[in-house]
Amino acid sequence: VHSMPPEVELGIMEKAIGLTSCFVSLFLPAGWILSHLEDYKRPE
Amino acid sequence: SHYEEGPGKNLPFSVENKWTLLVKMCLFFGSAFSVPFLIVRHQLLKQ
Repeated sequence: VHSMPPEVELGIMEKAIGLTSCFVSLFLPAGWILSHLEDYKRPE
Repeated sequence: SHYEEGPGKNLPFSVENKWTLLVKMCLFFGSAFSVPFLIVRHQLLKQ
């Protein structure tokens, strides 16, 4: 088994889009729910 | 029997297109990470 350098190097824009998408898809749903926690609690 | 060899050939998903792969990974990991938060939301709304 041996590895080789990438056939096509990623550009700065592609890296930015990829990393941003990963972070957004991870933290946006969680952040949305955490920021609305009070709305989900029913008044006693 | 003989299987195709090489990078990406022994995976149950395609890595041919990087943008398709990005969408798939975002959905796979994003949905899994959001499950516990959705459970908390569900439990709070149930009360």
